[in-house]
Amino acid sequence: MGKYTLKLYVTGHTPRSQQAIDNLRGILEAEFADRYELEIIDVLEKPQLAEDEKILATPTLIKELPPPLRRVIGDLSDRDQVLLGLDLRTVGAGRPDTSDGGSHHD
Amino acid sequence: LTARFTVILSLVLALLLALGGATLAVQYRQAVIAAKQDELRHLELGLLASLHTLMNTGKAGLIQDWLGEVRNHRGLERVTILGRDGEPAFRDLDTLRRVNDHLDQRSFQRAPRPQAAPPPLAQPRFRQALAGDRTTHVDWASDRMVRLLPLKQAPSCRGCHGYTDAETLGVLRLSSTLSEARERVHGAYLESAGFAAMVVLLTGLAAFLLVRREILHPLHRIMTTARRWRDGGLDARVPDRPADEIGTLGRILNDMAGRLERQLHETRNLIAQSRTGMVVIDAEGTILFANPAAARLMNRPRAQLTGSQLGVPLVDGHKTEIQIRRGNGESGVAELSVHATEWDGQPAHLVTFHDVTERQQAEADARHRALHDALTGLPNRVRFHDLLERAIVRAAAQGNRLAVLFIDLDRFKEVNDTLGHAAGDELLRAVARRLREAVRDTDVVARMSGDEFTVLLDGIGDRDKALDVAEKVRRRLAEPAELSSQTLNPVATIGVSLFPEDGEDADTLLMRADTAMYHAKEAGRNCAHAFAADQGEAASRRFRLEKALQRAQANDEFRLFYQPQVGLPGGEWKGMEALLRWEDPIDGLVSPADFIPLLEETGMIHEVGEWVFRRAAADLRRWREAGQAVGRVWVNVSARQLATDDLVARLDRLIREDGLAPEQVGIELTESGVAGDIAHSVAVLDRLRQRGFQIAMDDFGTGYSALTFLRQLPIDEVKIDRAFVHGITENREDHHLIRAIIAMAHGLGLPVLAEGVETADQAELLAAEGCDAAQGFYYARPGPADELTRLRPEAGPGLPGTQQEQ
Repeated sequence: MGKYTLKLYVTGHTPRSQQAIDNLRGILEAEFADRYELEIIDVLEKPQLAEDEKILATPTLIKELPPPLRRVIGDLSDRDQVLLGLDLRTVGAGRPDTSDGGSHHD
Repeated sequence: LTARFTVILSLVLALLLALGGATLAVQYRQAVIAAKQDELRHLELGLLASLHTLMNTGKAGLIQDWLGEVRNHRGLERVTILGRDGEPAFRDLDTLRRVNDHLDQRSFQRAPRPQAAPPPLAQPRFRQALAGDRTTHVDWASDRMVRLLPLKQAPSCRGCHGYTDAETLGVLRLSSTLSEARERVHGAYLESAGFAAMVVLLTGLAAFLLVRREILHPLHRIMTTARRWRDGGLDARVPDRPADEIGTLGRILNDMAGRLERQLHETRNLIAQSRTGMVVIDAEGTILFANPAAARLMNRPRAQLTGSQLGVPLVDGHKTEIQIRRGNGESGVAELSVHATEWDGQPAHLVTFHDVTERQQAEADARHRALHDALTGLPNRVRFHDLLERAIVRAAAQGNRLAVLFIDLDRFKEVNDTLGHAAGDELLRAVARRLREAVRDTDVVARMSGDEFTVLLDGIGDRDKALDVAEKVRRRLAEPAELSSQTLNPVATIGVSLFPEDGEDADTLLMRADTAMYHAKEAGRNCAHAFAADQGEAASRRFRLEKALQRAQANDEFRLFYQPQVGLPGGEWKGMEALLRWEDPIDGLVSPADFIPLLEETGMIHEVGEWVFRRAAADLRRWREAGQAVGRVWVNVSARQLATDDLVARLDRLIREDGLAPEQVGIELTESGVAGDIAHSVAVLDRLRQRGFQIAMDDFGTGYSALTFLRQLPIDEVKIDRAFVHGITENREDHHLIRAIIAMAHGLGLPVLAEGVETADQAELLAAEGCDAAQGFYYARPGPADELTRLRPEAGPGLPGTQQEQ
């Protein structure tokens, strides 16, 4: 069963950044429980990393695994849009079943 | 097009030339034949005539001359005389000579009888000639012309030979070459043919040049210009031309290009100058276009944006917020939204975003202002209430205690009154600062209003601990405060309540801390008290209300409303009752039942009562000056006012100084108001009536309602309490009671006014019972003076109250 590897780029330790992180953690906990790895990167601290990834705006969430590579910008407040943007769910599909979700992406 | 046109033109020219050539050739041949015929004509005639002569006379001399002539004629090859059977009558000219010789020697012999039906002749031309026509046949191949001439018989021959009239003797055949006739005509025709060809060619050339100059070339220029437009050069223009069709076409196209260029320019400008970032993304999420604002907001060169991935969910209507770097280097917020669109004919998404940092900041400021006190910066009442409620939820969940301190500065009003508001504000700020310093950072300090502060102590151990903190706060506040003008020692009284012991919700905790504070004040100020269960809360509430009333008087929060009174049954305007209202800046209009008793108890009624008369006098003066007759204005006077001696003195002063006109004013008293000391009341009322005031007995039927009252008191009108009027249409007892009151009052010669009339049925019934006047919502609600003048703009002069008629 594959893990979801995600990176979230934010700018500074602002309440807004924290809001995005909280929003994302809420979504990930609800959808993938412990099957994800989330790395949070502050573009102020690691500007080169952001430059390499061509981060145009923050917050930007990048799903590295499983493929395809996907990114979502914004405050991550809309769960459905986030999942859609990460290609983890198509519109109208129900909540992914745990085993189904795993095997599907393996 | 030019090539095609040239080919077509050439073909047309060739065709024209061919046609012309053919026509010329035909004419040329005809001319040749005509010339030849002309040439032969006299020869033919001569031959024929000499043949006739030969036939008639048998003399061959003449024909010999003509034959000689024929021989000498150029181009004439053969002369043949054919018999009716088509065979030559004479083989040649020698044969003819022999015939002639013969004829000279011998007498004329008759030829054999002709056959009845001559054999058919193969040649139609010959037959035609035999029938009498002269025919011409030309054979261009051998360049020969053959003439066939019918030989007619002379009339004299008929008798001899037996021929009929219709029969021809034979045919004279002349065969000649055309070459010399052709030579004659040839030169002239060649000349004219050459000329015609030249004309046609020159015309063709001219047409070609004209078309090239006027059509082909201008079209070519339009085409090259249009090609430049297609390739993006909208500034290209078709060269100017005269206003013919092509010139107009060029101008129209120029105008179109100009408009397109302008529109494109404007649209580009809008997009380039817009502060809204615009990004177009294809179906794969790649940026196809970004305007300068987008580059600015994302802090990237435009070139870098194009081709990159933005990563926005491509859902029409999607909205989100992103962080941006602003021009000044600070971080900001942009609102981003996605709209489905098209780009280059393909489905795409337009992402727009704009800087909302200022707006969000302003919203945050507004929220802060709404929840904080502007003077001290502390949370306000609303915020404190909210924080307290949350703290209660937390404390309940964790099994903790919390305490509320209610702090009131003693004699703060004096500071304001003696040192001014600036000093008062300074003191409040100092108190706020000290409170903040006296408690932990996690505790909440708030300013409730005026000189009242609250503190929320989260997670406090027990009541004693809370009191310790309160005492510490009190002592800290009591330290000398250095204001800019002088030094003050703020003295505060503090009440304390505890969760969960004293209350389990914010309102109760606040009220109980307030109550404890009130009791602390009673116990001698400048101290801290905890709430005790036996402390009554009504007293505390009254204390607050009293304070509020004092503030209301100082801040001019009282209002005077008026309610019209009308005559029955006609409904004509009679006068108005003046009603005291209190408009609290926070709570709005406060019910008179809530504060008028307190005004009486505290003695404030004297001051406020005088204000009512002064206000009424001012309003009356205003209406008088505006020419509006409003009738008599009735003012309520309470028992407390009546009981003191100075009511008359106060009114006298108002008459003197404020122009109060007693003849325009009525005074309403309640039964209970006069019941205390009847003799005193009567004396005061008499003095008032002497000055011109009228007196009405208010709320009649609710108090003692002793008949003796009505008889003893010097009054001018009776007002039936609304309680009776209310049930009059449903309740038989009320109906009877009203009928009795009206009868009784009328018996004493007093008119009756019914209060609280709300329906047409009530008004009708009261009128039927003989009630003289009425007042209530059915006619008009009480309202400010300005509203009333609108209510009754048509009021003319001379509308005195009914009471005067008594």
